[in-house]
Amino acid sequence: MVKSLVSIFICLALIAGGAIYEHAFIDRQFGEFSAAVETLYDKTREEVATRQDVEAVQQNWRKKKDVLHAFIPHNDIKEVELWLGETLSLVSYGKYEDALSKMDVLKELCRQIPKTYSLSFSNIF
Amino acid sequence: MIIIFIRTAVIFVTLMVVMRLMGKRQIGEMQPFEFIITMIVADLACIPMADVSIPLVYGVAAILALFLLHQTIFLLENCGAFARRVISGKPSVVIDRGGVNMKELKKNNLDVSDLIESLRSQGYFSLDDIDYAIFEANGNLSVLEKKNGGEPSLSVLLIGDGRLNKTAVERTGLGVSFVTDFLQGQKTGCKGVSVMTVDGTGKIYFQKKNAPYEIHRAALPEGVQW
Repeated sequence: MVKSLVSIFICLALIAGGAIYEHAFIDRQFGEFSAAVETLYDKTREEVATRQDVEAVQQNWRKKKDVLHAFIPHNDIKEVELWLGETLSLVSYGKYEDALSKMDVLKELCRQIPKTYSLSFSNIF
Repeated sequence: MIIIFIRTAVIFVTLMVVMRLMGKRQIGEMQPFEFIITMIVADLACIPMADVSIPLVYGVAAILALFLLHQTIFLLENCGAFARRVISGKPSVVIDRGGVNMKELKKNNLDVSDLIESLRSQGYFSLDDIDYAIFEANGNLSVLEKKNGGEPSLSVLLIGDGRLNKTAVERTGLGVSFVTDFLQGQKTGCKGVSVMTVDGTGKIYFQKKNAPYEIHRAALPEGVQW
C-alpha cells in the first residue's frame, strides 16, 4: 500500500514537473525565436536585411531545435526550417516582398506550435 | 506532456468501461484493467520507438500515465468490495443446483453454447456432471463437479435459449421429431426452453425458462448412437 502510494506520488510529480517544464521551455524558445523573426521582418520590410541577418536567425534556431526535438514532433521543426531556408534564398536575391510572405508563415508557426502543447479542450479531444 | 497524460487517461477509462460492458468472454485470465494495459502498452512503447519523428518523451509520458492509472486502480480495488465490483466485476454463478442461470449468462453476453464450450474445454461433457459453474471476474470458468458422476458420454445441445440447434439434431441423427415429441410430453414449445441437451445414453438435461433443471431418460431412435 505504502509502496503504491509512493509510486503514485513520484509518478504524479514527474508528470506534473515534466509538463510544467515542457510548457515553459517551449514558450520561451518560441518567444525568443519569434522576436528574432520579428526583427528580421522589420529589416526586410525596410529592405535592409542581408543574407547574414537571415543566417544569424537560422543559427539561433539551430541551437534551439537541438533541445526542442525532445519535446515536439520533428515534422513541426522541419517545417520551420523549410520556411527559414526559403526566406534566406529570397533575401539573398533581394526579393523582399516574397520573403515577407514567408516570414509571415514563420511568425504564424511561432504562434501556433506552442499553442499545440498547451492544455485546452481542442488539444485533448 | 500533460495532454498526453490526459489523453491516455481518457482512452484508458473508455476502454475500461467498454471492456466491462462486453462481459467476461472478452477477457482471458486477467482483470479488465490488466487486459487493457497489456493491450495498449505495446503500441505505446512501439510507436515512439519506431517512428523517429515522434519524441521519445511522448511514449514515456503515456507509459507513466498508464502506470499511474494501474497503481490508482490497484489502490481503489483494495479500498472495498464495492470499488472492486465496479472496476473488475464480480463472479457470476452460471450453473447452480437449479440448473443454468440464463440471467447471469445474458449479463455476461454469453449463451448456452458458449457455456457448454467452456465446460468442454474444462473436461466436462455434460451439464449434469456439474453442481456449480462460476465465471470468475477474469473470465475463467471454475467448476464444482458432482460427487457421483455417471458414465461419461458426450452431451449435445439441442435447444439453447429457446432456439433449436438444427445442426446438432441432424448430425446426431435424432431428427426434429425426437425433440418435438419430447417437448409435447413436457407440455412446452421450443421457445419455453432454456437448455436441452442429450447424451449418447439418452439422458436428457432439460430446463424450462425460469424453472429448475430436470433429468429425463429417453430411448434414442433406433441406430442412433455416439
